[in-house]
Amino acid sequence: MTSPHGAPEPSPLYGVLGEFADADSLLEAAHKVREAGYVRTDAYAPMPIHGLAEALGAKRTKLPLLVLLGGIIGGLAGYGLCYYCSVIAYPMNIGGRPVHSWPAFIPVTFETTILGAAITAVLGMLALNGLPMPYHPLFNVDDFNQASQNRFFLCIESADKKFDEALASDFLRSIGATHVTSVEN
Amino acid sequence: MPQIFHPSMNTISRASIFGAAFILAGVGGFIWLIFRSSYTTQVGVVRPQPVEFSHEHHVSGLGIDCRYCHTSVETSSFAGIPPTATCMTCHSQIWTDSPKLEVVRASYRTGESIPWTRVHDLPDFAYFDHSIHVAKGVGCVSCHGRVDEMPLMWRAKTLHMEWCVDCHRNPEPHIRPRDKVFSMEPLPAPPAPERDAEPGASNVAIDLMQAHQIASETNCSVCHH
Repeated sequence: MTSPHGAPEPSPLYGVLGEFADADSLLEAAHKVREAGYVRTDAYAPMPIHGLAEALGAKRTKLPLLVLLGGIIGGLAGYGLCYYCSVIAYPMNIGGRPVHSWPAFIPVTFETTILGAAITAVLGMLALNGLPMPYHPLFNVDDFNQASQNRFFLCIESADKKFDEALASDFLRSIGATHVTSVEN
Repeated sequence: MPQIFHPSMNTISRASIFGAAFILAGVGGFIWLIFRSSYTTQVGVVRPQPVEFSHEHHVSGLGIDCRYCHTSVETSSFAGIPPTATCMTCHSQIWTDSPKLEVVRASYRTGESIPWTRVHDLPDFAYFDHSIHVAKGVGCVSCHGRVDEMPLMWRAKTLHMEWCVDCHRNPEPHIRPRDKVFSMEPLPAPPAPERDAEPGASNVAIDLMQAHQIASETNCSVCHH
């Protein structure tokens, strides 16, 4: 099989996708999929569902650590800039303050800390979750455009060691999927 | 509804985010280059003059001292462009029929000044003073370049404030003995400072700094008043 765009694909299947009636049944199904031993799974819902990530066994994101680092770098850069400008590069007597008048550097340091952290938060989030991803195999599924409106999906990916198309489909039906689709890569 | 985007868009969209950093750096670097190019600083750009006066000929060729024409350089803030009369001290006698000098003769006849094009033109909010620099041992060549090798005048230095401040912070490399101020010869390379030189060992530049009583003045009122 080839994708609609005819690109050659290594594996014919991306996975099987089950559709669930509501958020609660999706959350329940996520627990069961995890208990059944599937590792490469993902759930797709219109809104954040509390507990879903933990149910699927998602690891703690490293983003807070990155944001902390970004903030520290931003703060050091801001304070360093102030220090370099007013102490090293062009020390001047402005209003009789000492050249290294650190309290006056704090607002700048504060703002650059936030700038560094915020930029790291956005770019780090994109880098960690692989976005932007305008093309994804799941988008080939007819109903999947409803995943951001009112549908709840759970996908068992073919990359999973336990993956078998028929078994996975049956399993998804057995845990309450109303509709199961095999997704081409 | 099927896919909207082609698979290649994944790569393109990520590469464009990554590439934005390079684009920003490129734009910044380009602006930096423009501001330091001779297009904006006019370094090395020969500007047309009403008379093709050659410093190279008058200084190197004839050995005329800078102060013969720029008389007020030692006493005034403004070094002065010589009046037509200075030209005519010689050119009333020599090259009296040269077509190149017709503008000078016309100026002398009519009393209209020669409209020289200023090459070193600071903005009028910076108050440069020639006399103090000459008195403290800053040679002509340090700022105006090898004027004795300029057939037509061009700007040798950017006249950026950064360039002024560089020397005001660290004058030592540019200070010469007072009797060498009007010499176009480059300063002798300073001897490499020895790590464990004897205390009190003579350092030409520092000695000159002390002799000329040079203070490192970089506050606003020095130039901008």
